[in-house]
Amino acid sequence: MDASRDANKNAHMTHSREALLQPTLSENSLTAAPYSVRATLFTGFFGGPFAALAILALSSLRLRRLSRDAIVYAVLLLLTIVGSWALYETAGTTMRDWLEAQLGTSYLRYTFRFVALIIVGLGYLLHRREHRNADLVGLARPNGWIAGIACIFLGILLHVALLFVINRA
Amino acid sequence: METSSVQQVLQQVAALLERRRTTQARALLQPALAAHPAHSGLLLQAAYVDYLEDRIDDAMRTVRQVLAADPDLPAARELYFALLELKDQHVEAERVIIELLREYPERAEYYGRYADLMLRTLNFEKAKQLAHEGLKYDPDDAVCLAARTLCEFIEQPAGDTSRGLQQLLVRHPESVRTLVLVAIALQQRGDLRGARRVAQELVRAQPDNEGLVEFARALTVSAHWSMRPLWPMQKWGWGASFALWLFAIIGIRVIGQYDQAAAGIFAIVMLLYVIYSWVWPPILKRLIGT
Repeated sequence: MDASRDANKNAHMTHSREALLQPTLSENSLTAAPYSVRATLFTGFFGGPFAALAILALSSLRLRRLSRDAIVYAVLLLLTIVGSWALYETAGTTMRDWLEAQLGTSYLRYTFRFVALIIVGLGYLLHRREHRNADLVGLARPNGWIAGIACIFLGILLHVALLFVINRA
Repeated sequence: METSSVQQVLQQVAALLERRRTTQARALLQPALAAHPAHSGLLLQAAYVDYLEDRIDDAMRTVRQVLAADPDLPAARELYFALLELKDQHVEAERVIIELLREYPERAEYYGRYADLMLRTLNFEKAKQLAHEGLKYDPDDAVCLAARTLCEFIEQPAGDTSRGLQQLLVRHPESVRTLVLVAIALQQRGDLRGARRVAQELVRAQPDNEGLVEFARALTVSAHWSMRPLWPMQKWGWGASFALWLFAIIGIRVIGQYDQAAAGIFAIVMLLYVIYSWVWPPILKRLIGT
């Protein structure tokens, strides 16, 4: 019985070792470092929730885990749209009045900026291991300017489109 | 030059390379290579000298010459792997290390080096598994322990002292790799001065190691007295930055409800702090570098 158990154990070890010796890297799909936390933060701050989601999605693409993260982004996108809709609807009047009392006439801008920062924070939690890995091994981060500005424009565009749809409804 | 003389040169150069005395090693190799231009051992050591002096292209050319004559030479393949990593040719590097592991399945060091490659390409889970696998064959292997330590730093940066680092300190206390990881551990715990002291000792031991010099410079910048106001960000990373942004936004709104002028001053102070945090560290790094 011990011999058979040892044989099974050896077979399992050989199998797991063999799995480790399968190549992981290929020229067409190399994992790249995500956009820096600073670039993501600024994109979210200036571009709003949609911009934050866009740059996080780009980071997931670089990390080759977009399919794994897509469900999280979809939920956050849905919450942002539904939350915005609720805020502008009659049912959201109480909330709007409270926010205006706390934050002044620019309450909508502050609220969306706050939501964007929350999304950036959640994105950091999602990718924190990759960020630490990249920092510890000294991986160069991609230049965040072009992607950041593009995501900011996209974010503002989507935000305006959403408000247009809400107002028309 | 006789074979025994070549062997003597090989031994002497190996001893010099252990102490990174590349100039003396090169001086010994030149006449030996003049007499035996195709000797694999001498060519490989010449490639190592180039590698240690960061002449990567020259090292690559020489090691390819060795592999063309002797494709199965493990030492040449190990150096080839290291050079491919430095040139970011990760796919080819993986192929080389997998071949070495298939031929030498119980060489723990190879698992460690493969784990290191996986960390450089952000394949964390596989890196962890490889380090674990390598340690089954040799629980004291320095390369596997270093890879395991890095994985523990990545998973729990502020956690208890890494077990991998503890073992490195016991088994390989004087290794450069161990001391670099000690400096990183100190840095992660917020002891920047301690980390800087360790890094400075490393630079004294290997003043020609550009990587160590750069590491020590970065720690000197972080531990500088003018960086003290950035202590929350250094200690708690991006969590502190998020908290700061929220504090600024909420603070401006709350103060503004009582006193607009005070809110304006608060906003300017926060803005100056943010600008200082972006602008001063790179300037300081340049000043310290010169």
